[in-house]
Amino acid sequence: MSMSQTPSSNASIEPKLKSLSDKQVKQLKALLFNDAELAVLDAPAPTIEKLDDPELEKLRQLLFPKEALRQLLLIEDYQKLQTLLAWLEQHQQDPKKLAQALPLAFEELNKNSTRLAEILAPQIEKGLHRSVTKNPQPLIDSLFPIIGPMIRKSISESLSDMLKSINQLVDQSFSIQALRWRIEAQRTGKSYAEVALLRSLDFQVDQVFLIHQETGILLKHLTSPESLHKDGDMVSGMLSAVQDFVTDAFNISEGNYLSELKLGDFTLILEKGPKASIVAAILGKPPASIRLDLQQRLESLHYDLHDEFESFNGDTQAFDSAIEDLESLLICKKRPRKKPILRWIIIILILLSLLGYASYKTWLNFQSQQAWSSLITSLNQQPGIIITHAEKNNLQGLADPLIGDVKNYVSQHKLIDSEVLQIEAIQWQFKPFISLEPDVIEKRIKRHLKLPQGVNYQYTNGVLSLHGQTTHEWLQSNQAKLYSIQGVFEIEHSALTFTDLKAEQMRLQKLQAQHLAEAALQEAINKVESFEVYFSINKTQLSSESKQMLTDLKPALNAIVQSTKQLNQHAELVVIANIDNGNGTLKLNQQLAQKRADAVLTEIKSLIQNANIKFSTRLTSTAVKSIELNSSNIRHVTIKVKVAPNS
Amino acid sequence: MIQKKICLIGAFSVGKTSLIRQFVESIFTEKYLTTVGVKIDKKVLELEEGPIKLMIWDLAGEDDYTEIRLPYLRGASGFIYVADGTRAETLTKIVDIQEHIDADFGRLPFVLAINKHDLIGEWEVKQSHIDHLHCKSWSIHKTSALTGESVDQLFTDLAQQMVKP
Repeated sequence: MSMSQTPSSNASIEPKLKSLSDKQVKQLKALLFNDAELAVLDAPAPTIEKLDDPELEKLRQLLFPKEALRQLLLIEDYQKLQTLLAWLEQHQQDPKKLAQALPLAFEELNKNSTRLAEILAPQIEKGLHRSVTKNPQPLIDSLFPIIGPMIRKSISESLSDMLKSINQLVDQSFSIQALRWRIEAQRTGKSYAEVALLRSLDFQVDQVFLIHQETGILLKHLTSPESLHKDGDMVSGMLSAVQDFVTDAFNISEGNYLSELKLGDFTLILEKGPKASIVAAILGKPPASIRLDLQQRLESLHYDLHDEFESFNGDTQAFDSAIEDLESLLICKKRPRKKPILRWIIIILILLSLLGYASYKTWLNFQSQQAWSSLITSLNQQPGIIITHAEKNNLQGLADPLIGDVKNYVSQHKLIDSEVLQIEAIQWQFKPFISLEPDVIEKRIKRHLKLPQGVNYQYTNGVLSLHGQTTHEWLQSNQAKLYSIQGVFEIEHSALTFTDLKAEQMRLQKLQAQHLAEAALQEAINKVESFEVYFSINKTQLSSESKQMLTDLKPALNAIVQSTKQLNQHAELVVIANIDNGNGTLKLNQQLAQKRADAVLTEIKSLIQNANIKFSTRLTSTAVKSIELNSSNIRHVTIKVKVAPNS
Repeated sequence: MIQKKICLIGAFSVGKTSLIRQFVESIFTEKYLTTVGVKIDKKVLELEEGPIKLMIWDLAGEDDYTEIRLPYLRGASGFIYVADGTRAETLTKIVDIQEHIDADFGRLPFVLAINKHDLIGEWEVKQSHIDHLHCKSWSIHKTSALTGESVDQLFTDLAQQMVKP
């Protein structure tokens, strides 16, 4: 310490003051002062401040006669003290002024440089370090709402890469469970999302408790509508008690807590914060994410209701705003699983193929329906077939025997689309019946009716019309048969011409003509045979009268020629001359008679042209009475006509 | 509604559980006392200031403060101490416990129930002792679990102390 050294700045004094230890100062004072002086010296600052007081000055001079010496000795200390007081005064300026100046100063500093941050950083670090060393709880409480999300974010980011690759692997393998859900969705008609949610949500958050950490008082209690819950207040208290009990009973270190209780299907998940806990009572198997939900909710509640927690005095109404937050925990939503493109492609492909298959099946079904109904329609259109019952692959009905086996009929007539329907797969159950459909009747006619050549028929409305040429006999013998054909009710044969009937007619005409010819012949014969000519005795020449008589016979003679020709007969004309047995010799008479016959014959012959008649002469001898001996009667010539059929 | 946690503390078999049995809502059996060491009941009181719900932590009877599970006392707004009038030492013990709690948890409202008043003839607790405690401004109720004497007052007294501003 040197007197010449005057304090020029606070900086120069401070180290020097500090360099003296308390003990050293004390020792120095003990050397310099007596007890009374020491008491004055050690008195508090106000005493020192009033050093200039004149009364005090007097007292001082009275008390300290060696003032001059002491001043001499202590001047340096006084000066130091004065400087120190000035420094103190300077720094003990109104804090309000400083408070006003500080933000401006910080602002100014922030504008230009980072100097303040640099200066403050070590101090803040030290301060934090001290705070943590001394009592970490306040800092923990302050950081609680932000540190959770921070940690989670960092963890989730680092995990996400790994998860991505795992996800890819899982997606590529295309889980069977997902497929099962899809099948179930299709089966139940629900959407896939609905099924997935239902299957994922195999748990229910039954109750949620928000419990004041310190008191165990239930701040809020939410229950699901189906919940059968007991008094939440007491349960909440008991939960806190159990929590304390476990911590206490097993010497669990502070900060750890009972986070889960499990009893069969029932799980209690407890999430503890500095001021409150959330407890979720869950039925079923909760997903791991539920704890995260609880944590997040608890953190946000701590953040939002910080003041309410701080000033909690037992009034739970202050926490009404938490209800909405807690309610969302009751309905637990599983986060929709991210479905990468590959999985979607697979799903879409499967759906498309299912759709395609369904369409194909529908198309086949449609086709088979079409083919089936077309088969039914065409069968119904077939004459002689009636469908009474048509079911899938079963056909029942009636069929005319003319149709035969319906199955064969169908296949022969190609009534079935064999590419779509299998004829063998169909049950054909047909009973026989007699069809009266025109087509069938015609068929029946064709089958049963053997028409002779030249005869045709037409069938209309039960009437069988025959036309053409046949014998009446055929008609007679077949008429019953025609009527026996089912569906033929009438036979019209007016257009039929009978060949046998014409011949009869001709025969009759011929017969008639023959009769006529025969009659004419007989008449002519009679006429000819009635002819008689007389000759005079010994005369063989014809008289002119006789000649005339013969000429008169000409028509008759020609008629004989005509008729015999007509009747296929031939005539023999016999000229009979009677022998005159009265006079003369017989011989002569015979000669005469012959001559007479020849004369007549010659005359006849001249009358007949191209006659196919046999001519002959014959002599007769008729006994005559004596009286007639001279009469010409005995010299007569007659004609006899003989008719005989041609051989 | 205001809710307060209170603790019911007393030496072994002073009848504190019986004392409150008929006056509180309870869903838990007394088995909890011997297992978990605490049973929680509820009582709603109508005070002039409004209704108050007391969550009563009935602690298993312990004769010594060191045996009490202190975590159960955390957050309590008041205490009901129970002594057995027929056993003087229970009062001594409870006074001791009260002093410890006072020291550890700060001054909180409390009431003292000296139970088994129906057996007044067998009482060992001296009136002088009670007077002494009165002097220390203790709020003391002579109760009977059998007759229900003063039990409601006991709760009301404590509740009023707790809601006093």
